[in-house]
Amino acid sequence: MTRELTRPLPWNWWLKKAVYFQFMMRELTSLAVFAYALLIIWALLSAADAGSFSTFYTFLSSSLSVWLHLVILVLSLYHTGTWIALTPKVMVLWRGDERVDPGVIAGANSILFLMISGAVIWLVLM
Amino acid sequence: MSDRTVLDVYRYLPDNESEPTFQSYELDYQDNWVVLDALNHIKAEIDSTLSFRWSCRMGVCGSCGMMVNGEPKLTCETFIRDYDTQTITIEPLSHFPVIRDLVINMDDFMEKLPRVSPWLIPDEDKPLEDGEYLQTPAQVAHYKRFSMCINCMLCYSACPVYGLDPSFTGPAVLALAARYNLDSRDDGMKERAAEVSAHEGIWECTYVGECTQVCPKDVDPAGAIQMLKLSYALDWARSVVMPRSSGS
Amino acid sequence: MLLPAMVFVTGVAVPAGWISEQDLVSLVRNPVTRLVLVALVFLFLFHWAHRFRYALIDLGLGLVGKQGWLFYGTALVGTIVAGLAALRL
Repeated sequence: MTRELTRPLPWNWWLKKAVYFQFMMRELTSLAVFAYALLIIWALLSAADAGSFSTFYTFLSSSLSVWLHLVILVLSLYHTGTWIALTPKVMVLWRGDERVDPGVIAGANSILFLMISGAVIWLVLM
Repeated sequence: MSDRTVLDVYRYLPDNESEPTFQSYELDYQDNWVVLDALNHIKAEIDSTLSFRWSCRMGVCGSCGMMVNGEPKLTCETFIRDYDTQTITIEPLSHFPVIRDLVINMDDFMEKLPRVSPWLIPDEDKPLEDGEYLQTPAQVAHYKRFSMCINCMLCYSACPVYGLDPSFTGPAVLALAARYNLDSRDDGMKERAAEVSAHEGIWECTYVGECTQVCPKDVDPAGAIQMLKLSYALDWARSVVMPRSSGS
Repeated sequence: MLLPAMVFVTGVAVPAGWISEQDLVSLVRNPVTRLVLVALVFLFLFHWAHRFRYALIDLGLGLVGKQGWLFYGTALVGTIVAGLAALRL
């Protein structure tokens, strides 16, 4: 019985093809979600008294915060964008014997996303 | 009209050497040649020791899958004229053990196929006298795409999850499970749950999506797996909220 | 779905002065907002836990990734902290 050759995947497999790299980036944007959850926790903890909330508010106005938010915003938009693009795969809708075009589903979800975002911003600023 | 090309072919001859090598073959090719034509030319005219699988040469049997310039392809459908590189690199299908040259061991795939019970499992057996099962075109459409799989395993070569963990059930087998779950004549979704809705089943998939990209029959296994995730998750939620009194 | 809009609020609206400290703190203390924020923390942390864990496995760091408790545990702790913080407001 002659020996079969196994070829294990190298550690840098995701650097070898553009699609694999984009996939890995998509997954790592979940860190942006994590970072923002921490910010919300800080907001909730600091709202207990005026002093700590002041510190929080001042931080939010700092340039460090703005830069961090910019990074998180870009990452979270990519995160949400790729997520919406995947929704047609999961939400399969049929009209008779034809599938509703995936673009319609992605488009509808995108509009929903924009409406929700608008509502959140409006609610907060009012 | 003929042109010249160079095929850089992966060689593994375990009787002679323990390490694989590459062998270059320079040859004339016709404009209408596919990679498989070139390989057969090599075997017939240049080097009869080269081993590879092929059969129908028209993209329906799934035998001739290989890596062409790093991408999993059916060599009977891959035209040499579409490549503008000096050499075309031919390697055995990724993520499978190599037996010899371009021939891979597909036992793992063959062993996984029957595990998802890829046959109709109706709630009640219908006696012959009752006649055939009837399906509307709409009912056929629900599963038709997932029934087009030719078991060529290109999707397994494209899938990094399978490459990292060969215990992953994999795209084609899970798409086949979806084909049966979605068939109106079938009631076997629960029975398939143990294999499909398992950690090494659909839940190991991280939706890279390359399987769907490389599929020569447009089966969309990635879509099948995400649909399975949703349906098994909903099924689990239903069983938690409304436990069934009878075990079925 | 809600994340980018939220980031916009704290990242742009606050520094730009479109919402004052007083307004923001009373907004945070509002019981409905508190409920929504805790729900968001829960969703964000568990979503992160699941995706990041599998990302690590795909990166070959399976030994760390297989310790599900590390990730879901962190998410649970974070949710509890958020919940307690919201309760005492």
